[in-house]
Amino acid sequence: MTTAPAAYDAHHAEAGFWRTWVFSTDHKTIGKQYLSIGVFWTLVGGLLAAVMRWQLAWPDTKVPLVGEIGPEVFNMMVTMHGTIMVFFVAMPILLGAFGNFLIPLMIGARDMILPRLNMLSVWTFALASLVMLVSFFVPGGAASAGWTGYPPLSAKPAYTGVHWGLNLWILGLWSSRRSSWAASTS
Amino acid sequence: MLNWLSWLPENVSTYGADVDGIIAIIWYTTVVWFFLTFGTLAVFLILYRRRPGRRAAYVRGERLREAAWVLVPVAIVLVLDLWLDFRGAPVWAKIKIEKPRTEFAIQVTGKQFNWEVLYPGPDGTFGTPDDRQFLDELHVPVNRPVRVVLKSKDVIHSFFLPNLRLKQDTVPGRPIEGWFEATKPGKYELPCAMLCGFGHSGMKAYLYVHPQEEYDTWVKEQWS
Repeated sequence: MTTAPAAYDAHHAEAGFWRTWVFSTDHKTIGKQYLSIGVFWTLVGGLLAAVMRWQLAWPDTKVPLVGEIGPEVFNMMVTMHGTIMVFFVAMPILLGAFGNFLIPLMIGARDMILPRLNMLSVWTFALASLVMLVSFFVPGGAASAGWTGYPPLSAKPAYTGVHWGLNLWILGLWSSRRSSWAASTS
Repeated sequence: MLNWLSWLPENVSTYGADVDGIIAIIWYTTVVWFFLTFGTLAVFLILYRRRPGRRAAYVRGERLREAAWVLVPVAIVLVLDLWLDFRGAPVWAKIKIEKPRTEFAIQVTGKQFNWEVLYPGPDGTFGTPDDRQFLDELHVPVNRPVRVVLKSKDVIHSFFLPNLRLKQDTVPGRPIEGWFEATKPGKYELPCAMLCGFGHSGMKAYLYVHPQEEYDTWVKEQWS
């Protein structure tokens, strides 16, 4: 009987790099993972805001690294900035990072009730982030129908000139929502 | 900052003062409430800060005296909300429901990226050969109610007349009626207020409000 806790501890200590830092089920690690992805998106979203401000301050001049901001690009910046700041910064940092890290500590629980689902949630979110990031580099550029994505503007490529960008946008958004669903369940 | 209502575009609408009144109610209540709550927060942060020798109180929020900190503000917000509703409902009814009777109708169709303005012509009915269409210009006489039938050909646009305090989305496949009555002649902006594609920022028309004689002359010129 006395060997059980020792075996448990031994097993715990053996957990390798991958289990500890990457595919971890620990609520604190998951919270930190959410925080790192969220901080990355804060930088991207902030950059988009800076580009928009540049265009407003000095209209039709070249922005370093980005080039000239036409109306199509400006709409892309507006759309992606809104989407990113709400769904890829505010939600993952407030709920994913602080929620995961603090709530078990505040209520005195050992971890989330469904730690594996919690891990699935952060990795679904990472996948959603990847899809969203890729959408900047496809032909036609990123989504530009506003972050509200009202149809018919968002529904027909002819209206915005953006095709794959919008498909990836809705796919990324949908995956990030599945991630929130998993997180709130766990 | 407190008197930002004076920054609003010049009001030339018969119901503009009603709309501005509602905006003022919302503005002043939220400003007062903002300073009240954040002032309380700041005072409490300083007054009850961590000090040596003082233990934190464990507040369960169960006794009525403690729950009152939540219940009283909720009650105040609810009363303010109802007050706003009772003040706002007649304004909504005046603008959206009790439309004035008028024979003067114009059809405005949004498309990427212009406003098509259709007049029924002297016979007063749409779909007849004397209809005339103008691009990005709307002419109306002063002091006369104007009925606008708003349509869209492609995506959602928004018909916005800031000086007349009228904003209404135009939705494809669904004509929506609005009305306004201008009280002062002049040239006023009519931008699109709903992101509608890459040309959205340039989608702008003008409303020309003429004195009656000037308007009659304009009609004579166009339909002669």
